[in-house]
Amino acid sequence: MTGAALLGVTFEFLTNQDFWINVGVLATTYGVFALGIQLNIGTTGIFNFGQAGFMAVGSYTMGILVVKSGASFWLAVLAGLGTAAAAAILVGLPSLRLRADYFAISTLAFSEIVRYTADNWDGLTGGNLGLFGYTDTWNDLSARIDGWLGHLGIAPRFLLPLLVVNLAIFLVLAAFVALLVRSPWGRVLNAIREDEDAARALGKNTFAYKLQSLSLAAALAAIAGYMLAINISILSPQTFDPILTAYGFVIVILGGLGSYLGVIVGSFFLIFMLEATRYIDLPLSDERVAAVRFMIVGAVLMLLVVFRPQGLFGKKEELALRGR
Amino acid sequence: MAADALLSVRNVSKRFGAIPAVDDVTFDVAEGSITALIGPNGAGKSTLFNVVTGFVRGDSGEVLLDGQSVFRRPPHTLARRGLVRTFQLTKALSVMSVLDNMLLASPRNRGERLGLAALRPLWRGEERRARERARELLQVFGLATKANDYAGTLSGGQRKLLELARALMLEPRVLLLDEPLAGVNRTLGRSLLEHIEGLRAERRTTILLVEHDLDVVMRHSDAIVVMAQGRVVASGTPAEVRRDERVISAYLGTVTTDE
Amino acid sequence: MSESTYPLDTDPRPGPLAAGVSVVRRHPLAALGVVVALVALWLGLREGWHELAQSTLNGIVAGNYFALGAVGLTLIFGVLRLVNFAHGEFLTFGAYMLIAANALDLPLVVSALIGVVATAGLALSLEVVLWRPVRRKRVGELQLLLLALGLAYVMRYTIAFVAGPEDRASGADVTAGVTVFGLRIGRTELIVTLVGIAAIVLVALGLRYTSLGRQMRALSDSIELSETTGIDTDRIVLVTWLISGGLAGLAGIIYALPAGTVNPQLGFTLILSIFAAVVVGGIGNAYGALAGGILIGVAQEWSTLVIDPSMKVAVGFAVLILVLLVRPQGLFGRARSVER
Repeated sequence: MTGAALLGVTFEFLTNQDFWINVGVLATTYGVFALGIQLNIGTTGIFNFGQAGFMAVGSYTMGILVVKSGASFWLAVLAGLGTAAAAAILVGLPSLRLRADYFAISTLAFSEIVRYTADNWDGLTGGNLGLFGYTDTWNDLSARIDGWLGHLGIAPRFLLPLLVVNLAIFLVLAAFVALLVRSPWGRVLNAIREDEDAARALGKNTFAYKLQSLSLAAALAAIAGYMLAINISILSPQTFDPILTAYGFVIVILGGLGSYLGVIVGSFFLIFMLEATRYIDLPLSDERVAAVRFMIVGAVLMLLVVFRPQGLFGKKEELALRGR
Repeated sequence: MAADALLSVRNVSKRFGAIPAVDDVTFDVAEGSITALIGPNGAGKSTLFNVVTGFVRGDSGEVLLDGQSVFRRPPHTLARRGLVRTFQLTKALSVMSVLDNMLLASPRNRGERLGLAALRPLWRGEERRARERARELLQVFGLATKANDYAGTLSGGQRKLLELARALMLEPRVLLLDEPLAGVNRTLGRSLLEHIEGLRAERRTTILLVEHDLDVVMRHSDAIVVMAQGRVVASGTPAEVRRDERVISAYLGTVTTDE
Repeated sequence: MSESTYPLDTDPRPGPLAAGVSVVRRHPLAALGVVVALVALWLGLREGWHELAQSTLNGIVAGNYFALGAVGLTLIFGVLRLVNFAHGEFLTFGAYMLIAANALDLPLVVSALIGVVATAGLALSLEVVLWRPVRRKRVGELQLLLLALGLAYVMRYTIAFVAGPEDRASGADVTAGVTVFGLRIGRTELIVTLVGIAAIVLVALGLRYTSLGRQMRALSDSIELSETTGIDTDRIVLVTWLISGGLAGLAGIIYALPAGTVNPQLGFTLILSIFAAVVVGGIGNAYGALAGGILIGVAQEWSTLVIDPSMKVAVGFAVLILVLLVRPQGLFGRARSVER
């Protein structure tokens, strides 16, 4: 009797609309983030462990321009894309020549340098206390979307407009990147992943292509950063922890290396799991629940890698053929 | 030196640490000829190959392609200029189809530029033309039926053919073949040689190849360059080289392995 | 192109900055010496010689545990070609084992010993349970990296779950101080630093003079070569893990005792500096790791003389990036070649 009641209580969140809206908003955010990681590791074969750093660069650029310089939101958004891409070029120029694990370490180091700088340069970034006050343009847009939804008979709900916008952005970007990867440009990237020397011997300037792939991923990270920044209304350095990059990798492995449909499915799957553990009523302290969530992420990553490296949508034959 | 030399190697040197892998090597490759680079193991042939094709950075010297310097240029630049190489351990891109392997090599495709890649109409025409060329070449090499298969499913011999066909997509002026017959059975070997000689005959492609099979080399090449211990020991026509004492001692001085 | 310990994809080229400075390539130690001397001179003149000396001492103390952590990491890389992203968690584990032993009211030295042995044991178990089976499966490079990454999160947060995320006391006296040659150093700090240096010396001597050490170095040079010369690679790998884990546990304990408190993030906050040490010294080279550790430690402490101390970790990364630009194979790494 009490068991059933307990079950009813702990899984009640599944019927909670706000839970699903939240999952949707976060899944689309991390999904856009993971599109960049997929482009880098799944398509191009470069181990970008600094995606969280690019996200930070883009987001903070936007935030600082709006809050400190009073720039228009849309201009600031554009500027953030630019600085993220520029950061990618800056990081990539010296380190893309290096072997894969060295590149991984360099990008991780870059990501941490960004976080440390954001934490310590209080004057510019608000440091630990955070940067806020850039959401005016969004608030107006959000109210307008609420109005449109109202016309369609949908009652206004917190974060629903953001879900709508995020979903649109995510699907459009996923389709766009998938299209790019199917083009001759994407073919070169695939070749680089397979065998860079072969691509060079066939006349491709592989260094330039890798730089382009990294820059595009950085721009995607910046967009994901905007989505996150608007969601939580405040930018702080601890948001851009390397665990975000780890999430991105889990999503990519889960969905299958090289599959952009997989990124869509993987991001919803992962975020659902993470958010569900947050809503489930466990007899544990908050911090311990948080610890469990991270343990789960790590364990899922390990299990996937060992038992289903091709993920949900990867092709097993392709995996067997790699490096043959 | 030779007026009709398309590829000139001049005083090229490369050392790894204290070891001179390539020591002041000079020779010419005449246009439209098949020139073979031979020598015992460890002679420095592959290092020289890598230096000429830009995969290894030479220490000093000069390499001229039709009078233009190509020394220390990156491999992709050389490939675009018509200096194309194949690899001894074939580099078929396994997870891509045979056709995609060929399309990758097509030299002028606007769709390869990021700015234009998303706009299919801009490169659709070029892609179609490249596809036609690729299919023709695959037909010539007997791989047409495999066009849509993963390159990784090809046999070793078929991969050698693909490697050669793919190199031809680049319309090379000089083709550098790195042990094209290594590990290949006699029938396939004969087929490959036919293709190679056909290239010389029909397209006046200049060919420089590294090869261990002396029999093949003597019978099919126009000129031979012999290397030993990083140096050029002799060069000339097969007849001249066969009689050269230095060549004989270079080979006798080491144990040669026969396939 | 065949594989090598060399970090570049192709033939060793001078890094972009060094293109004009080939001297650095040919005489890295001399160049480093000059740079260090110049920086020391500038700092000494600017901030005072006493401050320089004090911060150098602090740097050696920090470099100590960086070096111990770096040696383990580089040895595993040398022998297995694995960049163990979970290595930092060994440091955390060692520190927490120390605390667990403390709770049993054992003398500090015994607790420390337990911590070191437990961590070595953990490393060994992971090899048997995870790394060896996975190697037999011949998983790819990316898979190994991600496996290590996942393992890092599992280890770190298992510790957080079991022991709680809050700071815990490491059980040593952190207030007593000693003055040595006019420079201040904590008493605990002094003791652990001496222990650490002793461990480093033992490791260096062991690598050079024992047959085991020679075999490890041979394996690090070329795993194929070693197999043909009859070295028991499986046994060496096990021993390498023992040493890697043990040294890492020791490093964690050496960090934790003078620091006074530990938390589950301990390893993560140190691991990037340890990576920097490994790269600076030349990955796969144990002596390089030791030198790199001291170098990074000193660089970080010196930087606190001129910039905000909370940025000092970032300085370690900056040194890492600088080295990758100028001499990617590190101080002691060798340029490898393909020769037919």
